[in-house]
Amino acid sequence: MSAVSTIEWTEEFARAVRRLIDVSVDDYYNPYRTFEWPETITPDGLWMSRELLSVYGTAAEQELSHEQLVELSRWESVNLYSLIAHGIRELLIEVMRRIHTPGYEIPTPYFHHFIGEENEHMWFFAEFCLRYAGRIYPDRRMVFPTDERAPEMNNFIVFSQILIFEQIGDYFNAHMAADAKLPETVRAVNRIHHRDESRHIAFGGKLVKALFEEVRRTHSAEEVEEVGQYLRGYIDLIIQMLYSRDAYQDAGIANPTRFRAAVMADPARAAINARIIERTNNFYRRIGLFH
Amino acid sequence: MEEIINWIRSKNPDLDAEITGDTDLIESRLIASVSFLEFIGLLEELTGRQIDVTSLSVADFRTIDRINENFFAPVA
Ligand SMILES: [Fe+2]
Ligand SMILES: [Fe+2]
Repeated sequence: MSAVSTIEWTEEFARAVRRLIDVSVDDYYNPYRTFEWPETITPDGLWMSRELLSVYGTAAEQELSHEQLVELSRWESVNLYSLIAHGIRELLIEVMRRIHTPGYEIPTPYFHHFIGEENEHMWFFAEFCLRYAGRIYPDRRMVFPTDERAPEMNNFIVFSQILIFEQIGDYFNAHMAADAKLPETVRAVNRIHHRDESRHIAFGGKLVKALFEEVRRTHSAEEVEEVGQYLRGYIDLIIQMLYSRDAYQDAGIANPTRFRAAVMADPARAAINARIIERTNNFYRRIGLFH
Repeated sequence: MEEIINWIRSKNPDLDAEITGDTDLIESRLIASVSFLEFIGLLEELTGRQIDVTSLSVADFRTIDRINENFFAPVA
């Protein structure tokens, strides 16, 4: 595995790791006992906040009846939770590759909590989908080979992808946990995930910042610029996955492919997409990658 | 195929070489993981058919000829 023994973890980072471990231990819960899982989800309304639906603000939204919006909210929540489940699988693989390997001695104790918690998240999101919708959506991504990158660049990219994915997911979870119009079962999974993710995002921010400093020390400005472009592409990919043809199809929308293209191109969506990624952009501006 | 080549060029603005039917799009890194979903969206729009990604592999996108065969050949 990629050696990172050159990374200098600051005392501040080590302290933050210890503090986050303490909170993880204090907040620990048994996920298999935490949720009620009622027979059906009640009340009979939206499963996802109206403002979070991919059609919100678009011309296409005007054409949908209330019943169709309710149906769409169910399948878009299934899409969101499926994305989270698939994303967790990928990030677990990467963290597993690094735990207890040279260079990762300082973050490793926290990786144990992270891995345990993410496994549980994957379980309860998948459980929600399977119980109440009968399926989780397949991952539509495909991994194409890339040019070999330096190990410290890879580390920075991998932990950036984890952080970006967690920040965007949390935008939805935090909002849905706070939305009193949503059914309690829906709010509960979002609330619990949001609580754990606050720690992961705090940790991820510190880790990515340390890895970025390493990248800046060892790479040219052009290479740093290139990785910035790459991460912008990754952020854009996550935004595109929020517009799910499968969800449009399951909601009974005619010609879901064309519908998806129209919704994504609707001018109302640009500002909304910008809000979804605002926290991520601010973070990368702060550490000096985005301008 | 014009649309597909235009799309590939838009994603690789620095590319000077010509893209022919048998250019290896994977070896030359012309299709990347981050733009793949957009590419599938384009193929679905052009063909008017839905594509089940889970049944496909990277090799199905290796060349324009291959893409043509896989997605644009008349349904038997
Ligand atoms: Fe999680
Ligand atoms: Fe997490």
